[in-house]
Amino acid sequence: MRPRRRSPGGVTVFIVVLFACGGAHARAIDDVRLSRVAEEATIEIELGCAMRYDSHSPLDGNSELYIRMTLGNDCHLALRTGRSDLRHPAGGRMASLAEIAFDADQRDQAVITLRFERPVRGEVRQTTNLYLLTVVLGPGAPATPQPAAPLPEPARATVAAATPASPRREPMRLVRTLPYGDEDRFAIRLSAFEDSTDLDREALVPFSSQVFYVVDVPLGDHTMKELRMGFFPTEEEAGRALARLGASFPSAWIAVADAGEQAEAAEQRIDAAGKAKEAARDVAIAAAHETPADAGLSEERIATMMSEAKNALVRRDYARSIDLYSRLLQEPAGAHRREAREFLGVAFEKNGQPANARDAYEVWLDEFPDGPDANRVRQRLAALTTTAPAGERKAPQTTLAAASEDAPDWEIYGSASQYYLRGVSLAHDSDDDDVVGQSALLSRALLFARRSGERFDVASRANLGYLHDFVEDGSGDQALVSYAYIDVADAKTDISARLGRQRPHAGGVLGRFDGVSGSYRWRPDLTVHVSAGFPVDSPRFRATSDQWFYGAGIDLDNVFDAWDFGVFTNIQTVDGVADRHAVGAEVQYHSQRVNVAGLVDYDASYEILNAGFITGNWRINDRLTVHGRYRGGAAPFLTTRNAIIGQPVNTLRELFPDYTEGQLRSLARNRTAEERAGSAGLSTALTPRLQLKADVSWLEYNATPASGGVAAFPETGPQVSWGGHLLGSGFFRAGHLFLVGYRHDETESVDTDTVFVDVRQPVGERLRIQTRLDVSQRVANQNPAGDIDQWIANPMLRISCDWAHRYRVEFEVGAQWSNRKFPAALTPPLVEDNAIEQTDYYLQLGYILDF
Amino acid sequence: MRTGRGNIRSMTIAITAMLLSACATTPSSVSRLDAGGRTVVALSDTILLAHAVPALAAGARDYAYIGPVEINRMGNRRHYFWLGLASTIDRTRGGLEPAVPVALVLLVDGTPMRFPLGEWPADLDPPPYPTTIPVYATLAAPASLDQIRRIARASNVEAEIQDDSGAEARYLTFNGDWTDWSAFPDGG
Repeated sequence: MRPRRRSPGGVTVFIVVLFACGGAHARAIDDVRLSRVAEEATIEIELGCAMRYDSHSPLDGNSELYIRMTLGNDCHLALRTGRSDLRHPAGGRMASLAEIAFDADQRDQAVITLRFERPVRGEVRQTTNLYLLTVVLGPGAPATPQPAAPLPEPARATVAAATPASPRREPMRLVRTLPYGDEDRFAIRLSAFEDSTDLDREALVPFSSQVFYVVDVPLGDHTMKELRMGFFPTEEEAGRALARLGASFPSAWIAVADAGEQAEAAEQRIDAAGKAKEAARDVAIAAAHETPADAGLSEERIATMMSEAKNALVRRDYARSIDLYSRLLQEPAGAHRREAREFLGVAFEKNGQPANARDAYEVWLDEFPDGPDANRVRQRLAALTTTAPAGERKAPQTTLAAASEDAPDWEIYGSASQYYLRGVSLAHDSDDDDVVGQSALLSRALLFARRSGERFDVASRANLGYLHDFVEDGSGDQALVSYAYIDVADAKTDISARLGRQRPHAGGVLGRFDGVSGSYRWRPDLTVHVSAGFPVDSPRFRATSDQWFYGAGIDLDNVFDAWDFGVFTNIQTVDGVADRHAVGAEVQYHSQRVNVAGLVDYDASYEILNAGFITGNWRINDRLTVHGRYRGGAAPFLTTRNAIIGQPVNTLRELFPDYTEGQLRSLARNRTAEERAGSAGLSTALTPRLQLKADVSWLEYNATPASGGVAAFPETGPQVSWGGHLLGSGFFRAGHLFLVGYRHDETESVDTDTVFVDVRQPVGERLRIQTRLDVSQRVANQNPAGDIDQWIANPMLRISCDWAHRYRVEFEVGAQWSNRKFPAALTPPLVEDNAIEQTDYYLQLGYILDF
Repeated sequence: MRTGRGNIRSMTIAITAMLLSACATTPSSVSRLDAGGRTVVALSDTILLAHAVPALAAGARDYAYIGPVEINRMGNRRHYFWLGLASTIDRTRGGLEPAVPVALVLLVDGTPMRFPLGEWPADLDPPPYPTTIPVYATLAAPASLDQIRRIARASNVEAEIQDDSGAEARYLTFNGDWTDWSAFPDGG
């Protein structure tokens, strides 16, 4: 019988991996923000670690969207062992989004699945910020018509007097099929038209940019007319508007406006000569401004008023600007309407009336859906919609009665979870004991709180965790604080500030810090950012005043239409010496088919390119997307603090007695290698349900010299990896997903071939089962005695159960088995037959409660 | 002087009447998960409206069951009025056809609210409300929760059903009061 030995090195590695997984506590999807502008919805997915967008499929007209991502290095540490996530985002109705699922394989590939309640058409975008993914949805594909309802057969036997025979009921099929309401919006029925002379016109002033229209209500032998104001995407928003109308319209109520009513309203608004238009607009808008809808303005007068309105905006006389723009918009036609409508929104925004500003932008987009300035208006609206509609975040069970009567003061939501984590390395000799690498309880709490006001929006976020370690002589208990900040945004001045522990992903800030950041939108397309604080290496640590930074940046949006630019600078000090002096720039180009983002970060004190990065995706056609990226720069990021790498100290100042500042900077440079990496690949839809992804990547680090008692680090030589996988989705039912793939990794000393299969199968609506198996063969070729062969298998089973979209229980168990065989010529033999077998397993069991 | 047995009988009748009254006027909320993963919330009882057609027979009536429904699809809540049409009129004898209803008009304390009607989706069967008389058509109208709440709080509600010929038939509550909708989620 072949003796089997446990590899101490293997145990160590496994324990380290488990420790990392347990100590980390990020969710793959950190947050999901939704906003909607007319028919365009935007989903911003904040990722828990850096991920690069590769491709997505299908591209159009499907109710599931698969986004393929490549995980960054920090993901392997940041994500817990499950590397899987499921979200039912609050506010999902704005995009008909039902849920977002994240699934990663054991390597660096992940799929984010967005499941919608109707077919959608969308674009996926990513900038140099690898922590953020944006999905923009256009109007959905036509929904599959619902089958006509079969008329129930009458049970005449149970009724004395028979109901009509079924042939007589054929005309009933002429009744329209009930829509599920995807196209429905909400309107406020202000009053019966007969009452229009008694309208409280002042109360309608804040709503002058809404659509006012008249609907006919046939009643017996006469038709009553109702004055309505629309449209609102949700009843909560309509409820807030209704609350603002207050006692002026005591008999007003919220009604559902179907697509037909919306179309009629649009016609009324466009048709200036129409009777309904005159009735609604004259009563509700022109009279509200106490400006008679006169015979029309001359072009000269329009130009003068436009100039006056803009001047009023510049000198912050917003009320005057609103009046002038509103009057100008009473002119039914003219080139001025485009600018007037947009700047009416700006004036409302500046005047602390975000709801009116939103309405103005929405109407603008309805009226001018295309054009070079459409993106700008969408961004204005998205910025408002993202922060303002508090009701969208309300839990489904929250009473709408309260929402419709009073706008909520605070909305609070979040989640709580606990996971038991265990990792064991099994003993293969009876003389040895199993080694428990980890046994810990990880408790997490995520809390979001927001309050939207007429002028100030306040938001705060806390992402807290506590790891209780049950292992004697283990790492000990750890308190974890990933985020803890409060945001304040002033709509009037366009200034916002964030205070606390945060992690911005742009503007040259390296990572998490405790401090303050702020921004000021100086012009509609120009925003200035500042930040200052104390860097924090890990959620486990507290910031110290030993290391601090300050920085500033400027963002220019939609320069030359589809280009965004940003520049930044960042000064960092550690223990009183210069740590970093960065200047950099970011650029992004986005179009329907091409998305390119680039970043340079140059350290002026070291005169070195710390990071140069460019990534791009090109959707050649609806079936084929290619992507490529290149990164060059320092690894790790060069700061003076790198001098402590390899030294028996934890802080830079501990080296002060032995080194001068110049020597420390030399040590830092010597510890920092130069990295060059690139990749290219393609994603193609073989069939609507089968996608192929293939890529090749390359990476190398140069050598670092010996100094300060730290050994030299040889250059790695090129590390090449290539492979691909097939992704099947929805073969048997919605939500079914499988990956089958192969990958070859090659370094100067080790070649590895891996095949993997990953299947995710929902069972019913609540249960999800995921199974995965990776099998690898590694050959190490640097031993003069011969090759070292190793087989590794990683099976995994994961079961999760959701209910009520709020509660989830997860169980995951996985193992790693490996058999390493050393060359027979190895003398002396490591073990009796020069073979080492090792088995480790892990499990986690936990729950998540969303509230 | 009353006997003890008489008191007990009177008390039993009174309690029974109270219980029946309570059951009749305060339906509870009922929710079920349909095959499509939607949660359908309704009340345990509908309002029964009747429209007398004395020209055909003394007791001839068309009936309309009406009740609020919430359909929750992955958190996306939509509200409807469900309408079940029934009749004790055998129109086959007279060669008559039931008209095609196109709208429900509720007179809420005298103010009309008009709801265009559509077919109740087939995949949402069974209907959300039980009916004692078999219905020959199941219809629905999108409504706002605000409207449901206002109707629930109204002191008087009458209904009209308009058909595709432009005619309308006024329905009155068959058994008295408008049923209490306070148990409907967020609506009462």
